[in-house]
Amino acid sequence: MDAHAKKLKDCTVVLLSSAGIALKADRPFDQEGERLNPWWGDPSCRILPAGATEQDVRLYHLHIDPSYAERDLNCLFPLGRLKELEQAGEIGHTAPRHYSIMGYFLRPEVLLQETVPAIIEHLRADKVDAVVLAPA
Amino acid sequence: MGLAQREIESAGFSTITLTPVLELTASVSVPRLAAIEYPLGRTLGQPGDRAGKMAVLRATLEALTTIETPGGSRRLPFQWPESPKQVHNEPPETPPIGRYLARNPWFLPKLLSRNVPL
Repeated sequence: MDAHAKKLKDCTVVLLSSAGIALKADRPFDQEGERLNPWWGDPSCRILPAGATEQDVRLYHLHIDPSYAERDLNCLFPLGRLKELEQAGEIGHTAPRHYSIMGYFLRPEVLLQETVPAIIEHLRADKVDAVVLAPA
Repeated sequence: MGLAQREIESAGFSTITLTPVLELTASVSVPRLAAIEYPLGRTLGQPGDRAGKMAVLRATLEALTTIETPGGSRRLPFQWPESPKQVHNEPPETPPIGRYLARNPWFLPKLLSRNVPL
């Protein structure tokens, strides 16, 4: 059921960023590959748990200034604020897993054929209703 | 992001993109857009401004549930506190494609048309 048939207070909401956010413990987005071939960007995806904060992540995106979000992740990926909306009863739930891609790619084939379908499978498994996409 | 949004929406989810670059994202005709004139990298607001970022997230979710027309967009009523000249937003290094085009400017049309020379 989608968010137009459901009230927001009953919806599970997920965030999808294109800021190249990855857990420090996870594999970084491939910046060296882009430096070697500027026409290429890493089309993969990283999963971020609902409780992740700026302490837990780094940003790997060569086209933005990452310093603001590395000080306060909510500047572009408002996991903390979303959790507060859940606690206030304004949304149903924040999803257990959220997502980041790195938004510089000139050819979208891998993203659309592999990365996005994998995200959609996770969204179904987590019974997500609504997706907020937040570009870098 | 627009292409990803369309795929996710057609898989049965309600989607909205919070975009600081309305014209670019709208050009790939996405299901729902909330546009904000905030700098790249700080689409929700300044570090530490808890209330400001909450207001932007609330307005985005409100737009998600109230934009009825497919392809509809809404300009969110927020104004960045600095003038464009005051905004410090440069990436720490020049993006690789920028360095490449400085050396090979004749490739710029290929970039603009996404005609990747490989």
